[in-house]
Amino acid sequence: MDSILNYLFNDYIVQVATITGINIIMVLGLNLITGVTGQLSLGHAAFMSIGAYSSSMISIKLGAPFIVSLIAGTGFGALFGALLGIPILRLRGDYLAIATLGFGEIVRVVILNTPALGGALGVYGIPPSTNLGITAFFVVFAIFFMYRLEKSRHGLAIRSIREDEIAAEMMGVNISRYKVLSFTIGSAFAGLGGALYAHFLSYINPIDFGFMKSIEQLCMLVLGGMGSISGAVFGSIVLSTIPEVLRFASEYRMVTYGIVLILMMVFRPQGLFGKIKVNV
Amino acid sequence: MRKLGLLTLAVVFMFGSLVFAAGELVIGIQGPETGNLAVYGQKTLAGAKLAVDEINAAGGVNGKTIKLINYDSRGDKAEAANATQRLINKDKACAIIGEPTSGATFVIGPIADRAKTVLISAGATAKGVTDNKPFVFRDTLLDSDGGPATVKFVMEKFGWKNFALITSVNNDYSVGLSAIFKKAVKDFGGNIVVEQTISDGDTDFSAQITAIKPSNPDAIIFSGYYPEGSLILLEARKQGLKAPIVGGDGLLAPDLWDVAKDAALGSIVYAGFSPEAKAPKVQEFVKKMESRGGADMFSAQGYDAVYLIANAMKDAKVTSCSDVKQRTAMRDALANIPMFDGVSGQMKFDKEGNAVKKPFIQAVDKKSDGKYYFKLLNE
Amino acid sequence: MLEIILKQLLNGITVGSIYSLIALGYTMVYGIIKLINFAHGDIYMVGAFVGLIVATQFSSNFIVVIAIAMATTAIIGVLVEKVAYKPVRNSSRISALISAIGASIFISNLVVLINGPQREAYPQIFPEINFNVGGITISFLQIFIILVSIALMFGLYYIVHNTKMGIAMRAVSQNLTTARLMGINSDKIISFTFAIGSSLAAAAGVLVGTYYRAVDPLMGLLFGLKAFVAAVLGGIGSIPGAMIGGLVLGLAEVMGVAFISPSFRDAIAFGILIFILIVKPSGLFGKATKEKV
Repeated sequence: MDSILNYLFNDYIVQVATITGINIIMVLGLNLITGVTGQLSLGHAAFMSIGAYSSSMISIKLGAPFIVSLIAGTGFGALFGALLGIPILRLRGDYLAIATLGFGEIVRVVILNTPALGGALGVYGIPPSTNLGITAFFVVFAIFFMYRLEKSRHGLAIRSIREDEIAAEMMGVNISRYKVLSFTIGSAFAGLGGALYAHFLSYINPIDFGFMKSIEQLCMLVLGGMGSISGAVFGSIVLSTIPEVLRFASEYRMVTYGIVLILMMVFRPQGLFGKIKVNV
Repeated sequence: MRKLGLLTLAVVFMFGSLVFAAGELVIGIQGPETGNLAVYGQKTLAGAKLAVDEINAAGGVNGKTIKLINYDSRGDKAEAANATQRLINKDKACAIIGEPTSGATFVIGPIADRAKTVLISAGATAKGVTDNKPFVFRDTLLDSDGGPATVKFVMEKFGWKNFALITSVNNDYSVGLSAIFKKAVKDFGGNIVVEQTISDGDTDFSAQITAIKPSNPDAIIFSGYYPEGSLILLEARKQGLKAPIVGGDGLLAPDLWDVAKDAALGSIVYAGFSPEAKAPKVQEFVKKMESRGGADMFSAQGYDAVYLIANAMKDAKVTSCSDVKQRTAMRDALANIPMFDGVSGQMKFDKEGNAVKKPFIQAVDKKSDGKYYFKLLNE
Repeated sequence: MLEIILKQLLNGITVGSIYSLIALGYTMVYGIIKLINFAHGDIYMVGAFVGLIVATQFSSNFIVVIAIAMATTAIIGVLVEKVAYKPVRNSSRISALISAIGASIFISNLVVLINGPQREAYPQIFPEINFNVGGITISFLQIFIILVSIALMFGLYYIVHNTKMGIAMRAVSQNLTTARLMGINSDKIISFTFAIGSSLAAAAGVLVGTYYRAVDPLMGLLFGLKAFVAAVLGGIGSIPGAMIGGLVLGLAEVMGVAFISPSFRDAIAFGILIFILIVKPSGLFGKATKEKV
């Protein structure tokens, strides 16, 4: 029995579980923006990188305690979310998607060319403070927070934007305000995830936060089901762990991944858990 | 109920893979096998596979066969960390040949070190990758060894003294290597007469060559990659500048002469491997690799990493890798290897686990049938 | 100084005309089915690889290479449409977009599986001729690339405006349902659009291979995204817009690299993108659309 417990809770399992947890936190943030508010974001990884870089810099340069770095990472994620959100949120649908994509690439290129942030070499020596317990705490917190938000008055207003923007406005919902709010909160969770990620792997570089990372997070959300908290959680778990189970077929993985995305969209576009049809 | 079913399935999956053969010593190898860095991972793996096949055909190590388990990290840091933890905890690997790139090695090095499992990176070149991590090694030729040796060689052999230096400013490798070249030229009494910068992806170098020409250098040191290198050569010849290029393994590709043709002749590059080396060992390796995708620097380093590990296993008489004492003994044996004779050259490790080795200095030459190749100069 | 500027101008127009060719594919598809065809960049890469195979295995005649590449890639483009886009045509926009992303990942990684991930040297299928005009070295290849692009764009313009198929295309892009009521076979038109867009992308792929002398399986993503920026810049859905957008983007990139900083090349395109989207989302040539309640 002892060896079984050891087997179930060895470092490898802890490693995969922690990464999965971090993904859940970020995908919940994306779910608020894309699933709940209906604004397709293709630049979620950019906010993750902002959280990762700001928290790492604060940990390394100022020697701040972990919790301060986490708060700072979250705060910077929120700040940039709001800064980007205010000008571009009047764009709709595809245009918003492209603008977020462009923003993501710009953030990456700027970090790549800033020697103070390590440039292409990246930042190493970040204290490895993140562990499974802390991650699990924030996962529970994120789920609880999102659940309460959706059930609240504000959540109702946000959902009304997704269902019908014009009708919502007629009913007196301040659309811009709620869009920026959801973008800010969603980005804050991406920042938190990024801060946890950086302090887990202890090394980051701009390549980790490229366009494909944003797509990966979007796929987790889509697989689970947009607009559904359990869907976001489930999708993150599946896409974070399946590659581990399917390691033996590693060279076919990316090809399969492409096929799975197409098949999902053709046969079950609402995701595995989604009940509603999302119109973006 | 459905959730319970899933959980059962997951548990069954895990236990299914628990069963492993007893007479095997596991070596893990991980790297990007897909994605835009895939060529490094695939080449390293091909070389390592050849070495394992050879060792097993010769009866294995300490009476056991070696099993090579490879994982694809896609160049993603989190996946790289997952793979390392899996190799250590699930596959009970004796040692890991890990991540041909510096970035991912920064992530997985501390994990292997904490778990007291030997890790050899067959490719990482960045400063500090192995520092303060006793279990982390690399068998790569470092630019801080290769650059100065090459400068010394060309100054002594060809009597060159005045160099132009071109750096690609948005390429980290180039910026770092330029600093090494600059210091080396100064240390050996040469001069950098003119410096120019370019960017990766540029195609027009007329301005830079125009600026270099009046100084008439003996050679142009270019620290970047071959796509720009070949175009710089073409432009130089077009403007009547005859100086050859000197550079690192970023220039080591047939594309150099595919594009630049005769303008590439006489270009000097150094690298951690040369298929032209006369050592029978190297020639045999090149021949065996023909059916496995060809021999190059990464496959040579992967091949050498396996033999380094196997030698250390023999020296430490390793029979079970779940025993931390045996793994530590293996680490000590590896650190103290007197002089290892690999296909990527002779090497031993410094106290931080960096390979100390000599570069293969090569020049672009043309065979009588008109085919270009890298001729090995320092053998 | 003037010399350098003129030379850079030529470089910019060369790259820009290649962007234009790819941007046309994005803009036509978007015009008709309102889908960002994410896999278009990978179609362009496939075109370059088909050209590579033809040039190394069969014939290094430039015309043969580009013609076979265009024809083969047109078929692949239509296949992608049938498999990945047609079934989701009536789903939400985001479903279609994600299916497109799936197609993109599938195509690029399939080529990695078949060819391996490494960069491949492109054979010299075009003689290298340089001539001097007033002290500036001009490569004939650059002029040729620009001429080929212009010729292809005029061909497209002719098809869209002077053939039955083209009129049907424009009708479908105005309103798919009404066009169908008028007896237009919209499936056929959509396939035709993909075929044309893909063959233009293939031509761009062969030209890029000839120009830069190297291709790799993952070159499609970034180049494709930038071409998409060009389409947005010109006003998505507008064919002249895509042409002009490509040229403007090419020039902006080359000039930015030459006179500001070489390291921000990739940010330039996306900076322009965000600026345009905020200031004039309909692009230079696009029509502003009003939302119907």
